[in-house]
Amino acid sequence: MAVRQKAMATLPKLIQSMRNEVTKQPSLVLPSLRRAFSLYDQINLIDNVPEDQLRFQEFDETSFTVNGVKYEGSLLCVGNLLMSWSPRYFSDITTDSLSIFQTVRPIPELLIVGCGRYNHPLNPQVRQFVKSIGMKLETVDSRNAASTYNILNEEGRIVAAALLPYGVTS
Amino acid sequence: MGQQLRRAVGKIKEVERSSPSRVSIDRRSLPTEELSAVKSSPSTAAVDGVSDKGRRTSEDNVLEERDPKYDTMLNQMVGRIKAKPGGKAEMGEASVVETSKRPLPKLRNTTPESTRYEENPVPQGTLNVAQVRHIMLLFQGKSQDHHGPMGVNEIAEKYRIDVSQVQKITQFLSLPQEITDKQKKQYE
Repeated sequence: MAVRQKAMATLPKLIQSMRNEVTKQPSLVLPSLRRAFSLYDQINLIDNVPEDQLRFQEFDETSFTVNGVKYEGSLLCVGNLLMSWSPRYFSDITTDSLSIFQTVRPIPELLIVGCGRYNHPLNPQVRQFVKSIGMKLETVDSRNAASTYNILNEEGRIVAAALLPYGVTS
Repeated sequence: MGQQLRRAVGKIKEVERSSPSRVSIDRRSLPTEELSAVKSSPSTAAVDGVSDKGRRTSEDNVLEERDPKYDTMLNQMVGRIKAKPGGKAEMGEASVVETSKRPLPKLRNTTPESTRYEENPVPQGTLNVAQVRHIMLLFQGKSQDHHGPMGVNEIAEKYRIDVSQVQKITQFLSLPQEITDKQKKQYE
């Protein structure tokens, strides 16, 4: 009899708790829609491009087309300045050939070195030289170097590029 | 959550189903009382014996059939409700939102003015991009403000930098052969 009374007393509380939990469900917070939007929508790739901003458009075995003009041989880009670069092979890249970055201000954040057709690791001496100036170094083939330079330069970063023609293999 | 609700509701229904049996038991107890009331006047000994047997039977029925299971069920239900009010969170439910730990990308507003650093003033002994361009033009003899090529020493003296720096720059770098009118105009 005591057990029966206990059960009868507890049953209404259980029913009430069940009902309370049921009513709580609609009040739950719905998931936020923040992920439906992205800051990448604010990146503008077409409008308001400065006229003198360098942009690699084409390349072949021996030349690059930058802003509609075809340039033969190796190129070095600093800011909006495009220069012919004397190294013709990967082994010609030395600390002296990159010494302009010791003098140019502001110092570029990143130097992209295009090694030609294939990717080669740079000389540790050159790597240390670039590091001592304060730039980060990225060594890729010339095709990827051009595209990476385009993206970063478009973003407004201070980026420099030193590219060998795509036909260079060693 | 929904599943646990269904389980709990199912158990409540079981409890409700068991309640009619209790009512039936109560009804059974009433006749025994009536019988005892009727038989009380004839003989006391017979009435006592009958009532004792009836009581024992009803108690045994209650204890054996219902109490242990009900207690177990009750403990389980109460424990679940207290320990996990919302039940275990599973993907797909409205309350579960996967929060990524990766920070949002940095906002960059690119404007034509944001790349205007080529002509900013620079400290002593250094050059900006416009000055580098001018050095190239002077060295190659294409500058508008100077007739003919200018020597390395003169350039170094003019821009107050080391001669070796100018020498290295002019040795490894030169303006491309094809210079567009835009670049010339910008310089001028």
